[in-house]
Amino acid sequence: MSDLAIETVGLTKRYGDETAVSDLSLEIDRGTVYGFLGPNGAGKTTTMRILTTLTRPTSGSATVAGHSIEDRDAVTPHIGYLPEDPPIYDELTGREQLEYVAGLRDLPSEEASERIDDMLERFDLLEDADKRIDAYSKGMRQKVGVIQAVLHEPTVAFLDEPTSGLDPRAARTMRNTIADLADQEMTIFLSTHILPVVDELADTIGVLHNGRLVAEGAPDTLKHRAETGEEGSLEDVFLAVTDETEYAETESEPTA
Amino acid sequence: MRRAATIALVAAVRHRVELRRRRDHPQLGLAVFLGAAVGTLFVVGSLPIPYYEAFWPEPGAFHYGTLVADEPDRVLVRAREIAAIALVVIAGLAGLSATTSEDWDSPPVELLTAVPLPTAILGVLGDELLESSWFVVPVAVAGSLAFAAGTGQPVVLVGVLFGSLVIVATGLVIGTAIGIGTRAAIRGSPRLYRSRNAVGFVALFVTFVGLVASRTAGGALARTPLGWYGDLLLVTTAGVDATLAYGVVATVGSGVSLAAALAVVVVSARVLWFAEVDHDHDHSHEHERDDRSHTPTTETNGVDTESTASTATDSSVQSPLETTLGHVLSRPTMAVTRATWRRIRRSPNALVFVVLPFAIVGPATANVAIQWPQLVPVLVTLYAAAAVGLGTTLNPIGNERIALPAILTTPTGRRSVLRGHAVAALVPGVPTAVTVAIVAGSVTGYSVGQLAALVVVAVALTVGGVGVSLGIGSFLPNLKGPTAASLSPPELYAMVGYLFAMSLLSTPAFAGFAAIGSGNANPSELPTLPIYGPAFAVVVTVLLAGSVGFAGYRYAARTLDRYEAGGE
Repeated sequence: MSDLAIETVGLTKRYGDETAVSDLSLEIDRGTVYGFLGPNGAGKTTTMRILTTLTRPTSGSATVAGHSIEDRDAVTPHIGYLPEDPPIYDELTGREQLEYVAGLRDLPSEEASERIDDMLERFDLLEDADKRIDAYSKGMRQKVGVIQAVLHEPTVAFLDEPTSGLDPRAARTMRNTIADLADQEMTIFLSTHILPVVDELADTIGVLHNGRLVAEGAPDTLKHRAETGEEGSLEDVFLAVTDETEYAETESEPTA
Repeated sequence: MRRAATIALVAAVRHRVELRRRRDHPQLGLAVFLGAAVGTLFVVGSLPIPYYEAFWPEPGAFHYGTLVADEPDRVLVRAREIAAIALVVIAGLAGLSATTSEDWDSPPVELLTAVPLPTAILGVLGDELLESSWFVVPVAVAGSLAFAAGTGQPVVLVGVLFGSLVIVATGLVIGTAIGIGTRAAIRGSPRLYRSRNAVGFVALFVTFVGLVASRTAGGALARTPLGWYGDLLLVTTAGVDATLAYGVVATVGSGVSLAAALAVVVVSARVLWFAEVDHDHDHSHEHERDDRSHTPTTETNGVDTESTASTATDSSVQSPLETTLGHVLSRPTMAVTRATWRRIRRSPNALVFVVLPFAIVGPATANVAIQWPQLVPVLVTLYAAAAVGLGTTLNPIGNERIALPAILTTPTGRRSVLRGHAVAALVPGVPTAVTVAIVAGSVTGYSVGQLAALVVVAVALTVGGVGVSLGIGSFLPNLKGPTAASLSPPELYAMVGYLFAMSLLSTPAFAGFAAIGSGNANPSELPTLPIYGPAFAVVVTVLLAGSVGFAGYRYAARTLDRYEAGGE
């Protein structure tokens, strides 16, 4: 079996005349955290949708957990996905929602219950687990969304802005959880705007701009190559590689 | 003036958003077009055009236009009846729409922080009226043109068109005011408020059926001031003795009524938007927990919460029915079924259309019972079977909209969702339809063989109907709801299409059971043995309902397979 959790070759997605993702090639090792950065509209969500089989690419190919994304049935058992809006039902309680997803994933009841309780406790949701989700705050909904994305211990978890709406304590719990999951050999594909989160967690960072991968590398490597020429912050890197003028001039290979 | 411009701007922008939503789902626009087309056919009626006359022989506006010269009094009487009935029907539909619309559930924050409250309310109202007018205005204009063409006098169009538009505007605004006003009045009662859609539907359809079934209703309404709108319609039609004063009073009365109705809308919407009632949070789930768990509870933050120990066993505590089903169904399908039942219990409005067939069962059955008593059990069975498919199966994609990414990224999610919704409907639905069939057949005097045939028809129509429902619901989803994550009632046009399909599926059953007694000297005496008629009904219904139902299920499954996030 390949050591790569995700591999894409020339992945491209067009909507009419608009190119959302252009010639994207990635190689992401198993058990790592891949921080996926980019300005609004860069194509991050489209990339995640392609890799989770929710959208078909216009051209190019990709494998997730060793399976082609063309084969949805082969890919889905190995992935978990938290989209920007957590896919949860208002009418269910947090626990019912998680039991529902565990059922959909065909997890045995006892095993599911254990995992659900463990995760609810970890995210400080146990006390509110039997309240209906329509009474939850944004952060609580986000927590339920994250738990259900990793409940079945997938090979690859795609998390779109997992810390969105979380208070500092919950955000800390989320970061710890992601680190723990990566320690358990789960690959995390993490899309976020919050650079310190990526800085802290990611083994590799990819920066997408106008659908193209304009920079890729370990956080420290990228920081060294910041525009200033000195050791800069991840923000410097982000601003440099996503600068329209700079990008138009270089139009180059990823800064790796 | 400035306020009017702002109201128009709000209405126009909201309406543009709705139009773009429809454009993304062209089948919804097509459904509106078909609805308006059928309404236009009814109102315009037969036309002296080759083939068309044979296609649609029913007399309508054009026919009555041709009668003006010879029978002006008859035309006036008919105009008064139609005007009065049209007002009631339009007001009823607008009232129902206001009762069910999510626009009045909570205030649009972006408007409240930008414009005065009455402006925001009237802007939202404007959008609602524009949406309603898609269906009504084309019908009114086409009817006016047809009537004027029938008379051969172009000047007739002025009065008819003006009168039609006054009727439409009056009906829509007054109906909306009644709907919102009623909604505001019951806002304080969670139980009443939750059941408003069901009660509204029943009331409306009983009224409609009453109007249609009763030959005297139109005449009675025409004798009230509502009939004066008929005079308004014909005020420029030469030869008809329409009373000008009635027309003027109707116009002035509409103006006064509209002003009063707008005031009611503003006051009522204010109540609805700012009511501090926790109507959405029933506590049935807490009672449910209490019922199924006998472990001690701890008081945490003012909310009864089960101890960690007890919650750990929650998923294994199931009702006997769920336990039994768990042995038969796959775990994913059972998960969807259980979740669907829970969601329905907490969002009962999603089942609003289920009561629809029962609303018309009384009057329609009474009519059938007089002429063909042997068909009453088939009719009642059809109603019961059709009702089963009017719940969540008629909006499978709309009810999962925010959850689709989770469902589609699970191995069996797509199929499990469809099967789960189907099972959630069929488990209570099949026994209900079978019971209805047995009771109705027994009361009518069906033999055991005929009863057995009817039971098979009931099962076939119910199971096949759910497949049809999934297919039509996938084609015409309702993607709006109280929130993106809650159940929502099916699209109105999906409901109409589904009932039409079910009436076609049941045709063989009617034909087959109509044969009962046909060879008998006394048709009221039913034969004691089944004859070929019911057998024919069983075979054809099973084949038809089975194949069409399967096709509907396959279509729904393919629609989910083809689903593309971001491309919806």
